[in-house]
Amino acid sequence: MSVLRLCLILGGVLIAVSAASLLVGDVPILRLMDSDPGLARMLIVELRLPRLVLAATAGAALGLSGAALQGLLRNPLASPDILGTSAGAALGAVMTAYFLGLSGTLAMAGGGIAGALLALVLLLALAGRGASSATLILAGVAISALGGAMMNLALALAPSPFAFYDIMFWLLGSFADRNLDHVRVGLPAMVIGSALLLTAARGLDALALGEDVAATLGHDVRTMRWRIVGGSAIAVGGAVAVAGIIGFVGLIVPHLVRPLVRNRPGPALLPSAVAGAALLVAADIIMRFPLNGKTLPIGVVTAILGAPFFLWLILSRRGTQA
Amino acid sequence: MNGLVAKGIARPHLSGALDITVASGEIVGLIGPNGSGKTTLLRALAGLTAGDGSIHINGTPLAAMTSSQRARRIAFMPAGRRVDWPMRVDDIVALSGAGGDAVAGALGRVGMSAFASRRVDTLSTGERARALLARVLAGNADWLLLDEPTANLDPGHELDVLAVLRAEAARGAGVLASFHNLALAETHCDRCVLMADGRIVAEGVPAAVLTDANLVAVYGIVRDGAGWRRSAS
Repeated sequence: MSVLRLCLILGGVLIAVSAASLLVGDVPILRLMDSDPGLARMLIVELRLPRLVLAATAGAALGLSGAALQGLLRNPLASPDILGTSAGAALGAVMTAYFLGLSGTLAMAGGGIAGALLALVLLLALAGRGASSATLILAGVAISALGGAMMNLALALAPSPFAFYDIMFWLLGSFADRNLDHVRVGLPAMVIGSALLLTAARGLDALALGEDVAATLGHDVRTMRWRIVGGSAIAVGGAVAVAGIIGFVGLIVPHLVRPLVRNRPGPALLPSAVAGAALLVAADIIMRFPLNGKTLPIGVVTAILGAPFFLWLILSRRGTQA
Repeated sequence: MNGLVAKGIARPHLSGALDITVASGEIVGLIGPNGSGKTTLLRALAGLTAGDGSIHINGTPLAAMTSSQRARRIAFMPAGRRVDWPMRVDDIVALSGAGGDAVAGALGRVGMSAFASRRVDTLSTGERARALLARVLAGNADWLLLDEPTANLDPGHELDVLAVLRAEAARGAGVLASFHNLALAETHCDRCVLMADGRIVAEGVPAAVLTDANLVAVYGIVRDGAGWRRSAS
């Protein structure tokens, strides 16, 4: 299938689920449009549209980052989480709430982006300029572990059980109660990061033959590496900052897309962005139907679905490749 | 000065500064035991490592060329046969930047036409080696730097690859390739460069390089009928 055709099909799916996202919910919008068009319009513009935009851009950022990182690190198990970006963003948000006393959603989102960028700077410092992919992964794992530990420490020292609960719930990932402020903070980061990632697509296929071959084919491997690392940090930082940690989307989506583009990592980027957007918008619609009277955080659901997929991936690779 | 001319190349794993020249239209065999510096030298000539020394192509310094200019001039094939994604064979050959006809032509030259739409993970190591060589051929570069192009190949395909390299030389390409099969290097190369311990210890026509004294000193082997045996040390 050509990349363009695949993108058109996935785009069609995205438009369909987006329309559903605007219409489906506690309030029957279509009926409200007849009785109170002003209120219906306000509901859509102030609540459902920001939620849709955030779910779509976060899904796109995560799917795209996953595809780009898997291509760069030449590792199908790579995902945005492994560079420490998610952990950095989460820690940044928690620190902003606790130590700066700014528990407003906007401040936490800003703190999240700052944390993601800080994690990236730390990654650059730890791995060095000419870092190999293996060094990057190791440095990312170390930053993730440090970020996770610091966050648990902050949670353990939570000033009140309510604050603890608020932060935990926020971290689990959700698009509920997001408004235009979140869009203003998160959208630019996700768009800039994604644009940076897409500029690095060209050399990813050649990288499948190794960095030496990619370099002798005229690709600047070092620039490509930092564009992808930086782009994913900015994009995923923005996503985590406004939606909490939504795991496994960045891991799974590229695996669904890649076989459709003849397993070429470069052409998989754009379709992964569109598929990630459609997947997260669809998941967000399903989340609106409460289970036992409680709505589940979207990050919990993607993790429950994603972990078995991850296991299957490892088992299917066992013995096939070193 | 014409040719691929390297002077004073110094890199980690090389001893001192090495000079090497490859002219257009010749096949130069780079031989030497494991760890003698063949790969290091090939990578340096491909512009993959920075260090002392100068590399000129027909008088133009490699350092002054853009990466895409270099890519058109020099094709490099590493010894590893790894491809990280299960891509199709024709997609891999197309990484050279060649169009559909050139891709099909290159696959035909290495006897891989029937494999064009196969996934690379379904190939044997030898088939993969030929597919990767097709990628180099499709680029139509002026200089081919090949690290063990005949490794993993059966004797028939070894000869086929040498015939393809001869055809490349005939169209004007300069070929520098490392070999472990000394008989192959002896019979098919125009010149041989013998390396040991990071140094070039001999170079010239194969008969002048693959002398009994050099074989004993560098490999620890002596001729024995059509083959070789370990020399008594």
